[in-house]
Amino acid sequence: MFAFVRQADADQKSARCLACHQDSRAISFWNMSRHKVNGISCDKCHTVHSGTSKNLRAKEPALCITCHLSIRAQLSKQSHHPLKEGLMKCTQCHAQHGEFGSKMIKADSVNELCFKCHAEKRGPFMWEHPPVEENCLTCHVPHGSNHTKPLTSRPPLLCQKCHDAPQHPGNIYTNFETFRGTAASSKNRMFARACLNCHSNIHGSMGPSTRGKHFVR
Amino acid sequence: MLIFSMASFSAALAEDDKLSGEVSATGTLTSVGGSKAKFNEYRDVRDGVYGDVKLKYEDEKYHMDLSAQDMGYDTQRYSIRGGVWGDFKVDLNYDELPHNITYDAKTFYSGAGSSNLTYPTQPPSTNTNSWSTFDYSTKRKNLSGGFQLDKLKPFFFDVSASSEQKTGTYPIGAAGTTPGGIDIELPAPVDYRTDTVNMAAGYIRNPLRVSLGHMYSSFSNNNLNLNFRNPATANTSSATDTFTLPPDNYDYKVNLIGSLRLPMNSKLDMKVAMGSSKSDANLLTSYVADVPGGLTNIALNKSTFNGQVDTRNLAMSLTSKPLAFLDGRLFIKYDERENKSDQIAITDATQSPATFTNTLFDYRKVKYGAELGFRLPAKFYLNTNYSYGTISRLRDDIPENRDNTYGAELKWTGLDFMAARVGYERLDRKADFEAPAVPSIETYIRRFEAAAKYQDTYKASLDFFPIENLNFSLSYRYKETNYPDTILGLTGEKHDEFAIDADYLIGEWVRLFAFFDYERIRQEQFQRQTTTAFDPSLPPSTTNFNWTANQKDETYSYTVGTDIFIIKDKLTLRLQHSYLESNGSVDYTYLLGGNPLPLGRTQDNIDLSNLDDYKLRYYLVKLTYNINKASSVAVGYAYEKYIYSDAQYDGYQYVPATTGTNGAYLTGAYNDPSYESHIVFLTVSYRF
Repeated sequence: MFAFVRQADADQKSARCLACHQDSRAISFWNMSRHKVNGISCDKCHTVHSGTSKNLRAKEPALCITCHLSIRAQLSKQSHHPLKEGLMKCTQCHAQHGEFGSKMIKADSVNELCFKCHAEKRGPFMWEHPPVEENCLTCHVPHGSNHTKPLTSRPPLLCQKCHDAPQHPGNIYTNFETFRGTAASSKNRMFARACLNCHSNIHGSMGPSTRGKHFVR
Repeated sequence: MLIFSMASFSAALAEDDKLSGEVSATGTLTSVGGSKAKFNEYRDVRDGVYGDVKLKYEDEKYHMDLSAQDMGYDTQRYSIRGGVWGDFKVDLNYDELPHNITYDAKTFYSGAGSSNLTYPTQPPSTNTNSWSTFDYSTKRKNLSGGFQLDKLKPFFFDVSASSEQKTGTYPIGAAGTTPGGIDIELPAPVDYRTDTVNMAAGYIRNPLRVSLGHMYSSFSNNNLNLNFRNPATANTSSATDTFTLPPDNYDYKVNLIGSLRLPMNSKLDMKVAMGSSKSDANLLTSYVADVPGGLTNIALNKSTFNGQVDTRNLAMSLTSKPLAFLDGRLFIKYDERENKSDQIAITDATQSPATFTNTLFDYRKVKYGAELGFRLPAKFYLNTNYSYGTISRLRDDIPENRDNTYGAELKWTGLDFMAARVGYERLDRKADFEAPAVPSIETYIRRFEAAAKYQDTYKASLDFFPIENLNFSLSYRYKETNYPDTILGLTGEKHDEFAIDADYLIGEWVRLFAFFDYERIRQEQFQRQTTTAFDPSLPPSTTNFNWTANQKDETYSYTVGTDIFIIKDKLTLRLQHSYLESNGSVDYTYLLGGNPLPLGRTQDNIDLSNLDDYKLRYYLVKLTYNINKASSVAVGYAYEKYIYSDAQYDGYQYVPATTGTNGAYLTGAYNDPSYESHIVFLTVSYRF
């Protein structure tokens, strides 16, 4: 029906589609889309009447990682959201046709987006952990990480980036504090899940007294 | 049988090309050694037959899509969507999502998976052979549906609803006594339900869009507490300890969205939203401690906690293309979190001060900026951006950040067969810091997300397709972050990413494909171990000294493969190999000056050389035969081997000690996820 050529201006290509689809609520924010700014026209992702779902050239996430190569690498890491298994789609979190916020997420804030699936983290808790309330991405990598959960780095070092205090938070935990250390040197602040061995309610707690304040109950 | 019966049924209906679809069945034989939980972390691959059905019906008036995948398995998904063109659309979906963490975990408790964990005699047995086994695993079951009304165009109405149940068991841990006690790993029950309804109604016809939306979500947890007998409390052997679990909550939000096309190829978009999250919890008035009598009683000024957090959001954007060579955008975004939760006064005689309250955290974020894009001669396109943002927090030590971000990206599409792009972005973050009135270790800590920082990001990419059948992409990104004011904490981070992607069709007989990804993350921390001498500039001693940790995570992966079209459009052989490797390490340094390191330690033998190290090998051989245009059969073999190694799990012990800071009762959560698998599969497909 249309014969797009490679070097044609992306806006001109998309204009043909928008001539019919401009009143579609699904693409009413195309003018704000990062895809538009980066010269991605409709035909990069859609074919004309291919018979596939939404006339997409490929399924998600294969379609998206054709361009987003660094995300491909993250989705393959050992801790990841189940996109490559086909149980989630990129478009569950991102509005590919444009949204108001950064990364075109389908929410007014990162936390609001995460709480859609992780409603148990929503609280409001009596004892709050401020970085949790401000931005989940302070500690988590959404697409995938080498570290379980998927965290930006491993506890205890992740926690020590913010917590350096007398008694245990500021102590140096090394190879000697792992299971391989001696009975005297091995520490439950280092082996296995490290800080999270005890501070499990790190997303917020209703626990009593300092047990709740320190997220151990 | 399903395929053959569908084939005869569909043949009749498909005569007029209104109905199309595909039915397939895949039989698998699997052999898995090692961690079956990690192998099936988000899947359900086992011996059996997997059925998939896709049906599509379209005529001048109606349309319908039906799909069913993995029927009867833990990953089963069903969807039916349909409607009348231009009038309405409806959809109904059901899907399941497993998350398998660790199978055959062990505990001395009885009741794993319930909200009461007990054991008969104090202390519990340390003979793990006598412990009971259970699985750490959760599963989501989500039923959802939606309706979109288009009949009244330009007016529209959308409604969708979902109900998700999440059940299973996940690992938590509790300090036996605090501070300085053992750790007890506990299987915590998951029995959540989240119900959500979204509605939106509005008007949309060029040049105006206006809509009103509403979201309501409720979360309920069938287990608000986990009761467990605490083995660390010898004085209180009969006392039951309590771990609080996520409270019931509900959340609502309303929004008003408007868009208006303006002269000069411009458009104004606006969104205003406000919402509220609320929770209630009955508070505990005592806690278990290792003291005679067993319980420490506390006094509360209110026995129920009423949580309430209100949010307000505003976003505005003006996009414009006033001239053929110029694109522009102005934007502002405002997000506010107001915490109206109860402040509970707690009196606990064992603490100093004895009376204290929970603190309420609020913030306000404002960001505004501009983007300008210029179409330049010779097919260059330059995009520039600037934004200014602030975060104001209701918090004494880190009350405010101010971000200046500016960047530019240059794209060149001067050749038919090539597109190149280079970009740079700079973030300057200024941060206010209020030191405590009485100097403490907090005087020197700068929390990285709220600390002053400079961040430079460089990126480059190249898409290259010199001949019709060759596609080649290459991208590189480097990000460096420095924290100039940080004394203790994260002081620097460097992040490299590199990726190559290639696809080449040789004649009509062979397609080659390959990609390679590389990522390296380096983080530097400066920390202090101390008892009372907080100032890091003080001369070191064996009990008060600084230390550093340099972490490195290096990951690379590649895939190489080929499709060999042995008989064109008839018989295809795919050969594929993928490899993924990650190496993590931490280089620690004691900064002790002339003081000796603790006995037996050197600056080298303290390091971690394997932190979340893993290797994943994957091989696939698949032969596909298209019997005719409608039917195909594929047979294949896949091999997958995952090897994991981590310093914090090496030499894993369920009970390293029963008292002290090396004490723990662990259950094996996340331990040894390595596995090796063989899968043979046969797929029969019929399309119509």
